[in-house]
Amino acid sequence: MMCGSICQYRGIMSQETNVHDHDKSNLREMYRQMKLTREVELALLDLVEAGEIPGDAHMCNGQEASAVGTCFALDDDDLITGTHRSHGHVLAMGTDVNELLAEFGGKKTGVGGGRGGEFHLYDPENGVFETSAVVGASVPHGAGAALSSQIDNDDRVTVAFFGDGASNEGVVFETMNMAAIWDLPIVFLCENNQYAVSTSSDYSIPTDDISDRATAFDMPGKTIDGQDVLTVYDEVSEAVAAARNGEGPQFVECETYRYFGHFSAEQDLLGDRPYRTEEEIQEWRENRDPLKLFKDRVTDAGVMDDSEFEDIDHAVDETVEEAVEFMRDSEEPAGERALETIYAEDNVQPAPKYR
Amino acid sequence: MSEKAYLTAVIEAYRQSMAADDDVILLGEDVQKALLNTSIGLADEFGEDRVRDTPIAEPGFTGIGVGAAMDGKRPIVEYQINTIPHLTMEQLVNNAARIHHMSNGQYSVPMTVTVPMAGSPGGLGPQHSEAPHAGLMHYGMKQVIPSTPYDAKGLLLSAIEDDDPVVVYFPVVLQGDTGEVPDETYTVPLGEAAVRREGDDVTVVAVGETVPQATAVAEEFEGEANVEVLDLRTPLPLDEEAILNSVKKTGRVVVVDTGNRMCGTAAEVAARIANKSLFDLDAPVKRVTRADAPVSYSEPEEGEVLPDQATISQAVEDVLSPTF
Repeated sequence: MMCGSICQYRGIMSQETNVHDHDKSNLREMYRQMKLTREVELALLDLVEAGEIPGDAHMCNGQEASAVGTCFALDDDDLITGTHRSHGHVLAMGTDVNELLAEFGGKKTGVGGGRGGEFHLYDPENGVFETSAVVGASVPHGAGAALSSQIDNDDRVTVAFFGDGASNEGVVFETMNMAAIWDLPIVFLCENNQYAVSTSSDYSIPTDDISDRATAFDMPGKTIDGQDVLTVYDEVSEAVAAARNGEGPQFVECETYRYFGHFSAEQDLLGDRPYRTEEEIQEWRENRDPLKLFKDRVTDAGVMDDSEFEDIDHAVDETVEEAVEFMRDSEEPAGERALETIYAEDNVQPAPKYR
Repeated sequence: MSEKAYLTAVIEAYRQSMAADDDVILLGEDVQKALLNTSIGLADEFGEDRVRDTPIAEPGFTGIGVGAAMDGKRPIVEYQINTIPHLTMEQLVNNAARIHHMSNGQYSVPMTVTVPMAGSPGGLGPQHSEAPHAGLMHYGMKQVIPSTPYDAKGLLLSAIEDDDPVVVYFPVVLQGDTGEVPDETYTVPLGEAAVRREGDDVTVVAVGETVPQATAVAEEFEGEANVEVLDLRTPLPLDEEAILNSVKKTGRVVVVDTGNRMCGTAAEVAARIANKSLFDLDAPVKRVTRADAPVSYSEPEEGEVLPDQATISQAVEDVLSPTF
C-alpha cells in the first residue's frame, strides 16, 4: 500500500488476508461507525459555519479507523479517555448520536447537559471516562482508573487516546513511567495525525516512531497502519489482551491523518500561511482513506457488495439528519443553572456575578 | 480523649480513614518511609498497593489521583512542599475542580491533597515558603487549614469524606502543638468557623498558624479591650455568616492571613464585610497578611514579610483608635 513519498508508511502493514477472519456483522458495524463519525463531523462543521451552535469543530475526518478499530477491541466494562478530537472515539464506544449532537448545540439533552460541549465529553454508561480539551491532561486520569482496577483486581482495561502533540507533554511521560513501574492495565493509544496544529511530528519528535519512546519505559510498543480498521482492531486487541493479562502497559501508535484543520477556525487564523500542501492532503484522501480502503478490501474479498455499503450510507445519513433535528428541537438550559452542580457536596454556595 | 500532638492527630486521621474505607489510598513521594511523619506504619498496615510511593512526578501522580477518584477511590495525595500546587495547578484547577461541573454531575473527584510542610517553616527561602490557598480558592477549590490538633484530625477526616477535591494544609509551626484529641473517629464540618476566644470590642479573623498569634494578641489586650478571635478553619467554604455576626457585635475588625495581600483570603473577607456590614463598622477594616514580597532565606527579611503577633497587635490598636 505504498502511496508515494509524502505518506511513505513505516509501521506494521495491513494484512490482506484478514477480512475473512471477521464476522460480516462486525465488518458492517465497523463501517457503519466509521461512516457515522465522518458524517457527524461534516454535520458539525455545517452547524458551526451556519452559526447555529456556540463553539468550534475539532474534526477527526481521516482518523475514523483508529477510533473504531480500537474501541471494537474493548470489552463492555473497559474504559477510554480521549482528547479534544474524540467524536469518533465516543461514537465507537456507543454514545448516543442524538445526545452528542445536542451536546455540540449546548442543549439540556446533551450527553453532558450542554456543559462540556464538543470537547469535554463524559459518558460513564458507555465507558467514556472522559475526553479532555487540555492536551495530555486526560492521560493520567486513564492511568488513575487503571490503578483503581489494579487495586480492585478487576478485569478492566483502560485505553488512553492521545495525539502526537500530547506525546511531548511532561504529564504523559510521567504517566507512562508510573504505569510501567506499577504494571498498570492501560493501553497508551497514540494517534499520530502528523501535526500538532501546524507543528509536524517530524519536527517535534526526534525518533522515527513515537512508539520508540515506549522502549524507554520498558513497555511494548508498536507503530501500525492507523488507516486500516482491521489492522487497528487486530493489533489493539493484542495489546488489550496483554494489558488484561497482567503484562503491564502497552503502547500503540496509529499512523493517521486529519483532513481538516486543527479546528474549524484554523483557516481564518492562518490566512495564507499553510503548514501542509493541498497535494499532501489529497494524497491521503485518495490513497489512504479509511472508508475507501475498507470498502475496497471487503468488496475485493467478496464479503460485501456496493449496494450493501450504500444501504449503510443511507441509514447513516438519516441518523445524522435526525440527530441534527433532535439538537435543534432541544432546549437550552436556563442561565441560572450555571451555579448548580459545581460541587458534589452542598457545603459551598457559589457566588453570583453581582450582589 | 487524650493530649496529643498536632502531627499525631494527622497520623490518626490517615490511619483511621484507611482502616474504615478500603477505597482510601495514599499516593505521594516517600510516603512508605513516612518522610514527613504523617504516614508512619501505614505501608505495613495497609500494604504497598494502597500506600504507594510515587516518583517525583507531581502533575502525573496528581492526575492519577484524579482518575482514581473519578473511578470511586478516595485518594489522599500528599505533597512534600507548599509550592507543589504551583506545579500541579493544571490538574488541580482545570481538572479536579472542574470535572464534576464539566461532566454535569456524572463524575465526582473525592480526592484530598495534603500539604504537611505548609506555611513558612523558617529558613527555606523563596521557593519553599508559600501559602498558596488563596490562588486555589480563587478557582473554587476547597481549602482547609486546621489550627489545632483537634481540628487537624476532624477537618482532615471531613476532607477525606467530602465528595469534592479538597486541599488540607498542616502548618509546620503548629505541628508540635498539643491538645485534646479524641481517640475515636470524628469530623469537624467544612465551612464552619470557630470562635477561639469571645470578645465584643474587636474581631480578629485569622486562619492556620495566625490563630495562636491572634489569641496571644487577645490576651495582651485583656483589661483594655475584649478581642474576639474567629478561626476561619476553611478559607473555602468561607463561613461568611460567622464573620458578619462577629463584626456586627464588635464593629472593629482585623483580618489576618498567612498568604499574600494581593487578591488574598483577607481581601475577600474584607470585601464581604465592606459589602454587607459597612454600617456596623466603627473603624476601617485592617489586614495583616504576608507582605507582597517573596520570603527570603535571611531571617530579618523573612520576619519583615510574614505576619506576626506584633503586627496583629498594632492593627488591633489601630482599629481601637482609628484615624480616618
